[in-house]
Amino acid sequence: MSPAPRRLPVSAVRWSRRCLGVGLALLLAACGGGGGGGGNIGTGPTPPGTGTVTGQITFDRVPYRTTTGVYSLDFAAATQAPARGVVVELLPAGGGTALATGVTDASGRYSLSVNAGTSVQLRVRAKLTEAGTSPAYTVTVVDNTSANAPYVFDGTAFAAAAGTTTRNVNFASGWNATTGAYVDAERAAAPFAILDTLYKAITTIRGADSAARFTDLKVHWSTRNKPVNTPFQVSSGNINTTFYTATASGTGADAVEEGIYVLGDAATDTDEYDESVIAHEYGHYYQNVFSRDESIGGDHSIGQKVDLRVAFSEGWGNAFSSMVRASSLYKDSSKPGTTQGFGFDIERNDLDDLTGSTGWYSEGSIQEVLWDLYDSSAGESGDNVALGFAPIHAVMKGGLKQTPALAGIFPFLAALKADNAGSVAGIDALGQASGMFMSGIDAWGTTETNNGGRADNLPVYRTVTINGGAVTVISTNNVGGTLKLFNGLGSRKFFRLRVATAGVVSIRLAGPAGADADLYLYKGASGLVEFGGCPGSTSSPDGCAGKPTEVETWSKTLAVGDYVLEVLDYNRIDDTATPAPALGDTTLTLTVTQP
Amino acid sequence: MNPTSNPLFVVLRSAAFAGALLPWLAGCGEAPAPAQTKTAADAARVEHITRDLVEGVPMGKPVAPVEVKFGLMSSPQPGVPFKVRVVLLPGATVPTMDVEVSGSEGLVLLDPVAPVTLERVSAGSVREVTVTAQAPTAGGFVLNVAVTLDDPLGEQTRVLAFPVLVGGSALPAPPSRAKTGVGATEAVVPLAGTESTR
Repeated sequence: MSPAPRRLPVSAVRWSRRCLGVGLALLLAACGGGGGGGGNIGTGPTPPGTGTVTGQITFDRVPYRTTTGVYSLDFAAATQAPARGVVVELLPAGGGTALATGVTDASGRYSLSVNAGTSVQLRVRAKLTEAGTSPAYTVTVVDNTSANAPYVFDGTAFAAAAGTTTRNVNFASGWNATTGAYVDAERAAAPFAILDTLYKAITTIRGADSAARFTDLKVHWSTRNKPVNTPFQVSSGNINTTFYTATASGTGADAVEEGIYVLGDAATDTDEYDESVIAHEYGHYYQNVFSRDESIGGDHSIGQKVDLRVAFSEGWGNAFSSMVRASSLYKDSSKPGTTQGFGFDIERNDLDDLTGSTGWYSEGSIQEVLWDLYDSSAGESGDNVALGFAPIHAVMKGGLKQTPALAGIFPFLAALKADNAGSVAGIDALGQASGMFMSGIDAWGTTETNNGGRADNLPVYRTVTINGGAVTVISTNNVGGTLKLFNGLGSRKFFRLRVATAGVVSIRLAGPAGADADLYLYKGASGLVEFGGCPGSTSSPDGCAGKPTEVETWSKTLAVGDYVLEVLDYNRIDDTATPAPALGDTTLTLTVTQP
Repeated sequence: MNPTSNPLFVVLRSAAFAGALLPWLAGCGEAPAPAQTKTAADAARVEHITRDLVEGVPMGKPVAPVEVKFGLMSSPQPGVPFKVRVVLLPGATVPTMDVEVSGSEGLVLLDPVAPVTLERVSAGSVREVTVTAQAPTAGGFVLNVAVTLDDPLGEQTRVLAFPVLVGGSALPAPPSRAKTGVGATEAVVPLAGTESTR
């Protein structure tokens, strides 16, 4: 039995139209209670007896070294950047409920008013939002090693004199140039650097879709977050790597909240200034909230031929990262104070070719295509399309999300062509250059001719007909002569299943002795309908009692519609097996019947 | 069978993503200066291959010129086989390198059960052995790895221990940095900032 892919719950969101400019540029509204009222930037003369506190919130932005091919941080070149869209409060001196609350503008500036003479202190939260009672987005940075408590700055007490009082705050990187090391307790810029990257992402999305509403997101960062998984335990900082998870799991000390987790351990690797990494993970959050992500996970790389869902999800992550940063360069620094780090340029069109993985099964190909569809860089041969983000966003939340096929490059490109008739030739040229057969392309990849080196990788979706007899298919771990487990191209095969009459449908998948036949059933945007994979399955409709491993059978009442059946021999692709499965193929036989 | 609902399943997506890019370090984007290419690329490659790993505990004097790093590939649970990556970073070129694994009492080694011999070992290369073990109960166990470099001048051995905590929440919780500050009842983690009035 293999696990059911994680479902991707998209939280119900409230929907109200909202002007982008209100949220990110003008800001500041009265959210706080009591006392002297709320923020009032740009709202006219200050009433008599009012003390207005204004200022700018900044943080140290640490750039990369400019040396060609070096992707490490250059602390000597750090600059103070505005902390945009973050929450600022005036608290009564010594603590209590906020007297006034606002949000910084695009320059990091804020203005809050209270009764003149009130003794107050400034609080700045590592929290990104917009003014108003129903903000479209809220992102909070918390410390996963301190019970997910939020990061805040509390200033010193002062009296809000009548008129205007200035109170600026800068958050330093905490880098000590003399010792060449961080002082962890002073690394206050990190949460704001993370938020600033997400501010860019949110701005990009709302620039294309002003009505977009986001689910609340937490970013978990700590100076104790390190690349260790012995054991994996986020409450201790053992997060393994920077990642996004759409689902919560575990309990107590092993609990993992939904959200993004970011490395911060100065002795090994920090990611708070690695905007490429932060935006990549936000790209997965974006898929979960606005579109559809059916990646099954597992080991993957630009140079590998993998499951079409993995290829699309990871290619999307890199391309989205570049779109929101307006840069094709992916950079990831490693240990601070060293020259370690790595990067690449997704504008290059040969990253996939150089590794022999070019096509619909390659994240390298997909990131190249998606970026070239978006970008307006001049002078690139063959790239005559510059769609920008809006058409891509429209497809991600439209055609791709609603496709009856699985979430891969085919439904994306087919929907993009349908939505952008004037750009079809340019879209075709880009897809074709990355090994995708574009003429007549549909969501199912019906016309695809690129088989990735194995004839049985095509068609991308086979057809199984109810009461139409048995069909055979191969589940393999042999990708170009190399063992590729769990998510390799050809490890899982897909069938289109059309249910014309609602009712009980019986499915039987059989393999040879020693196989572990597994079945997944999907229905478009509804996602996973059923999974069956004995032994050990708790979801198989008929249970597992008495079933042989090599045969999976079950019956389920299905509504009319188009379905996708995923079939595989788990014993052939099990990446946890010891010893590893032998290089080879398993022939599976599928039969679907209905009374 | 496959582990279900394991956070690592999700985590490994990103880890693999990072690892996936390793081969590109030297060849992608902005090309490094020629004189630095190999050194920088090799160092970065090793850095990334071992970025998720931890050092073992040296047992005795480190005679053999080899570094050994460890990483759990899954969360060890009682009665369930788990895998450990053992990455070897030889500092010398030798004909063969032997890796012998043993476990503390109660830790059952499933693979490899005999010493593994790696041939044509180059200084600066990265070699890897995957160990599969199983513990019957929750608790602390130790995996010992002895690495012997064989060359015509004789053998040199280094032994390292890797603590394995099986089952439950084995790590002691780090001290919380959250405080109930001026915000009344809300626990927060205080940030340092520099205020100015102009």
